[in-house]
Amino acid sequence: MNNTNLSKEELLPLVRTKLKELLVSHLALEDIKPEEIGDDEPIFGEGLGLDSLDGVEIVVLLQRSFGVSIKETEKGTDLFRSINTLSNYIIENSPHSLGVVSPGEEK
Amino acid sequence: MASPAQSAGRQRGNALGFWFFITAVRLTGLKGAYGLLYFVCAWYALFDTSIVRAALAYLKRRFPGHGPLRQRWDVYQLFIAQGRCLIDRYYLVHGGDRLRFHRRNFDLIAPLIENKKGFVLLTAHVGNWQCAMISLEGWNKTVHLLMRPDEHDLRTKNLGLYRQANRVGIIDPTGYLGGVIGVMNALEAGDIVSVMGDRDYNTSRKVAVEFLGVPAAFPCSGFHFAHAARVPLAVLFSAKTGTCDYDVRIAGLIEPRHGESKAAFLRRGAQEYAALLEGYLQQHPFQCFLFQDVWTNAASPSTLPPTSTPT
Repeated sequence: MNNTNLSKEELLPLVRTKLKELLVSHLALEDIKPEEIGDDEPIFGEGLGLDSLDGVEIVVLLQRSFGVSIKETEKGTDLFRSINTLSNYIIENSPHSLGVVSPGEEK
Repeated sequence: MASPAQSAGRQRGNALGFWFFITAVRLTGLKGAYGLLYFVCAWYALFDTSIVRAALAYLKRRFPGHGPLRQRWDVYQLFIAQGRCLIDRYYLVHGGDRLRFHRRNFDLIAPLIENKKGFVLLTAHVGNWQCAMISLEGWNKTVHLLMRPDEHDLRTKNLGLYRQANRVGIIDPTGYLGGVIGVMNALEAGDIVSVMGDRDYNTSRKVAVEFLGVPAAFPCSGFHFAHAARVPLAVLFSAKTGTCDYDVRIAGLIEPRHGESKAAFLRRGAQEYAALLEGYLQQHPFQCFLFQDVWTNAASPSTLPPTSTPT
């Protein structure tokens, strides 16, 4: 899939959907469907109810599925706030915004 | 009002008490300072009910046949052993040079050092883990200690010790997301992240294990990190074996297997760690300074139950 010609506005809903699907599958959120996750819903705490150890999985998921690393720890508070904040970060920092990293590319 | 757990966890002693020990070390050396412990520890073993109760959580499982009097004697032995470790730490921090640290099984992690691969160094509240850290000297790797701000004392007084020998970083587990971003970055960079395997860092998640013949629940943060980053855990224990001697041992390596699910690895890894710890405690029964009851409520909802089939 080639996303290089899409604008940020066009990419954003696609990345959000992909991210929600990955969160549900990787974190085994059995009672939640991807479409039920709000774009601005808090990911941790009272929102999706995830905790810091789920954060470990999300950090890895961003690296392996989107090729995105978070090098500055202090950015975490803003980045991990919601699906929207994460999606924006992915688009701004990833060459693979739709998670189309092939198995051979995966770290 | 402090809960029993909080009360057991608070730091004992006051400025005057520390002054006595410091002066004893200066005037009489280690043995003289150890001598003071017989009186001080007797007081704690007889009258500090919260710390005695905390110590008994372990001692009752380690010595199930001991009656109440013998148990109290066990508590006394354990307090003395801990006091000696604390005095040794002070001695080392202030330039004492008579303590010897004997590395055992460090060849197990030599390939990890040479390959510049990151790994989790899984320790425990046994022996003198702070002093054991100086045994890591000579590695061309940064060691990141996952350490709470309430361990301020350790940071300010003891980190100078590590800094002399190692490149040391601190990751605050009470920071955002429990410091996991820093942990994962460190492991990805090929560094070492030191985690206390018997401590729950900012999460209530645990794994059910068999420990000292009884169901228990162990924290599992270190195993989460290792599985996610696909790196091994090196289990490191230290033990005081003589007045001036410590064994610092790599007790084992625990590695995620190819294709092993996270849940399966958490169960297997935590059980292997529990078995290694149990082996250590068979040899050094009075050097367990856990002071947490990991057995009561072992089957809480946040505990990953044991697998019903062998993995």
